[in-house]
Amino acid sequence: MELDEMKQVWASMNLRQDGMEALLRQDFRDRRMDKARSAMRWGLLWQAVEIACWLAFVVFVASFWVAHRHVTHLLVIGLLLHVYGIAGIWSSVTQLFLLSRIYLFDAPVLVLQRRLTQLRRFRMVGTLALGLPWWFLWLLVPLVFLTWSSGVDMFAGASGWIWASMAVGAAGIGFSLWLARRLAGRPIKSPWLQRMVDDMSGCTLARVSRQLNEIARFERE
Amino acid sequence: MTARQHQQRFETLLHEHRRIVFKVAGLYSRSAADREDLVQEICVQSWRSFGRYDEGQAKFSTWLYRIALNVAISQARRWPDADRCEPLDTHHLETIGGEAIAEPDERLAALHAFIGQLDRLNRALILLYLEDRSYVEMAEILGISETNVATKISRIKQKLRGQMTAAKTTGA
Repeated sequence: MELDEMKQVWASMNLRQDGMEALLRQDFRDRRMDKARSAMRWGLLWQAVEIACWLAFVVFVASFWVAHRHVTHLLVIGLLLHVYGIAGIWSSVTQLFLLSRIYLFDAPVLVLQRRLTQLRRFRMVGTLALGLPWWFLWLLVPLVFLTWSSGVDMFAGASGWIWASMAVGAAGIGFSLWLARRLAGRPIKSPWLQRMVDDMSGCTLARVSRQLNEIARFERE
Repeated sequence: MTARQHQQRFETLLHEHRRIVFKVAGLYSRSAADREDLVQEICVQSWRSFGRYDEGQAKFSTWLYRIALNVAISQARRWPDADRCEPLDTHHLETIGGEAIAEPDERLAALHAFIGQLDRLNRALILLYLEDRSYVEMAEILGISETNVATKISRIKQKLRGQMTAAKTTGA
């Protein structure tokens, strides 16, 4: 059968629309369409709130290290958190920008699919880059808050314990990555955990790269 | 235009072009439940984007095809076995065909077998071809050049011819 003949077969088919017609009408009756629009506005608002929180964090950390610039370890911790905060702002702003390019879904198929895949890749890398440092930050952030609010320098009093915790943190990062690789490919009940394992084991990155290649191949060939 | 009129205009246009939604949903779903989800998702996404729809820029059908295909391809990619393209099965025959098909037409079966082996992007291309869209419109919907569309269609034809010849040889 030739492709043109297939066109005739296709044209001769009628859709079974029962049920689907009702679905279209039901959406408006149930006000689902309005809810979808308001969910989109809330999504963008949430991103804006996230950026505002990161900005507040950076301002706070900057004022902290400036005030403690004469104490080396507090200056270093403050600067590290400052860099982390700037990375957070960059990640949120980039995500907002990438989201704004796709959220209407009305771009040509290849353009939108490429943007969508780029957003997925950015989100995955961003989540890992901002998430894994919490093996250290769970200690450093309270330490900074404690020093700022009470003036007590915990690091000076218990530096041995803090360094030991940092070492545990470093081991924790290695263990998380090892565990994710071990669990990769196995079915996990929780979708949230499954996504985390896929992200950390590199499965998501591999999948996203394959999808980008597929788009490039389609464009090229 | 009031909000109510805006919504009515959308509903009218969507109703007139509902075949696009159903065909795309039918072609990219794995089950009847998937198909219903896709239909709803396409409608919701179209309504979200309708505020920005400009009839001077594109025909409603072109605009709706873009949204429907984008939603369907994105949804299909979220499935756990996203890298594997689902072969079209009985439910697709029921979806796209008229009455429930007890003994599917041979040509219909061949058509579905052929579409089933295509990846997501080529599936979109062949859907537009079968829907008798012009190369200009296909290029606008997919975001590639007209020449590229023509080349791809020609390659698909060649591939199909090759498969048919191989099938005949094997059959003989």
